[in-house]
Amino acid sequence: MTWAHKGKIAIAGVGFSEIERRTSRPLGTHALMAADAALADCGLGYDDIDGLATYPLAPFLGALQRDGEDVINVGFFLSQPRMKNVVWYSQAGEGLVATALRDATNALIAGACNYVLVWRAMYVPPGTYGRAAMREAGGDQQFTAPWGCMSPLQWHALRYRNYLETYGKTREQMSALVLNSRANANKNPHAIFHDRTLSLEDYQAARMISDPLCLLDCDVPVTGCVAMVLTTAERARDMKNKPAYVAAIGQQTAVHAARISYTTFDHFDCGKPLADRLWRDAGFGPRDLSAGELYDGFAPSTLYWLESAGFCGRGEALDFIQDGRIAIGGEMPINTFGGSLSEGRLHGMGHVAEAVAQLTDLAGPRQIPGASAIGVFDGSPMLRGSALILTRDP
Amino acid sequence: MSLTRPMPRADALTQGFWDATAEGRLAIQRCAACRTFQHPPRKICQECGHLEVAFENVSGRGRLWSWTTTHHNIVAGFEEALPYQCLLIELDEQKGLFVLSDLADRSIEAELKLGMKMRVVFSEPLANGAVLPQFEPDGEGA
Ligand SMILES: [Zn+2]
Repeated sequence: MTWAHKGKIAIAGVGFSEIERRTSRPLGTHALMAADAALADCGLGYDDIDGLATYPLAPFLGALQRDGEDVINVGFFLSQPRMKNVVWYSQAGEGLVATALRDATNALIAGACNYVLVWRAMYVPPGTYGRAAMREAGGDQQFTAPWGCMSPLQWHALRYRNYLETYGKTREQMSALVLNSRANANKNPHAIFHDRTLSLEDYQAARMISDPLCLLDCDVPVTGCVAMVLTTAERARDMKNKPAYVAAIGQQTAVHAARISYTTFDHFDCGKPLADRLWRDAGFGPRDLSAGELYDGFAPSTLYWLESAGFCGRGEALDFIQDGRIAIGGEMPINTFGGSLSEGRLHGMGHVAEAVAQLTDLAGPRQIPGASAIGVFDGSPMLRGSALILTRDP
Repeated sequence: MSLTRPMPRADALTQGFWDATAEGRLAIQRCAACRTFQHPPRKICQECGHLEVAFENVSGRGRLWSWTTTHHNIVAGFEEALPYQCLLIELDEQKGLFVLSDLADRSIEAELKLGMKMRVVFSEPLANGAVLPQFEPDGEGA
């Protein structure tokens, strides 16, 4: 039986700020640019917005988490004088931005508000950052920092090595995903690497960061913001542009007690229960999708979603991505906009924005003709990932 | 090669771990009720919520679950040690019970294999007296 609210909630507007590697603009300016664009896209004003939702965390070592500077909290928009009719908000601390989308969906279903602005703002600090400099390490870090392990990329590298060895695969096979993403980014005007092509030789020559992860297996940090307006399907029908509809939305709840790192959990055990709920709620399966937008903050996360969401079997993802199967025009296009690897680290919001663009025929040279349903899987399955299925028709 | 490690700062919750390593023992927090081990330490058992959790000696033996060679300057003090390795050891006592560590003898990096048997050894004391558990291949039947 499909979800009782399938197709009842819609994404009616999407807006990007300029996506930049290094910026002199404060993050708050990016947030307002994105909100302005999202509102213009659906023909609303700030005073129409009565709900706010985000996942604000700045995900780098040494982040200040200071509103308007390296994060954009709910408080930032609440304090805008034009935003005078807000009656509901949510600031997610778990999951990623898909949790904020889930909160917005629930609020709209409950009738708590009518138009929710959801955003994700990301910031790159000036100069060198992301380096831990400490004489002493306290808290849980005392069990990792003394051995030089402090970054999510090292934990992902550990998980990825275990994956490669367990299933007998090689890191060279990942080039198929990375090159596919770059080719798609070359057709995406928002992408940070829109104008930079990538060859197999480039991939093979990429500098190792934490073996087996090379530089090109890691997403590219950017400053920028993507905002969206969610409303009921009923209201969306009469708005400026065609919306995309939420067929299913869910959160990974399989992981319980904390370990030394979330990356040690099994991706399949974590992601499959979530995916199974989504397919049940949507009333179709992965083979019925026109494309998958699968999180790639670190490229292996895309493999984990391919397997746990049922696009292919356990341990098969590095074979699945070969031979053009995931290209636009292939059997199952993946990360049609370039992913975080090549569009930039918008922490999942770029993936959602692309699904909406494809389903509303706004994807330009990367448009999949008649795209009817797209799955967006955010985060990594082991990291309390969240996911949604969007459709062209309610 | 000069390596300046961040030194562990023990607190009430973790003191037992570092007291043990200083005596050449690896001790992991264990629940008195459900007998589940947990690491890093927590105030209560994350499995059953029981309040009585205490450090208990473990065998110091485990399997190499994974390793990574870090080439990127992430932690200050490791610059001259680049590239260096981190190991993730799954202790024999319990599935999913991991400790992060490194090799006592870096010259054997090339011998590492997923799932190989490993055993704990202990570092020289750091400047604050803390002794780090490190690992080496467990020769007997590795
Ligand atoms: Zn217990």
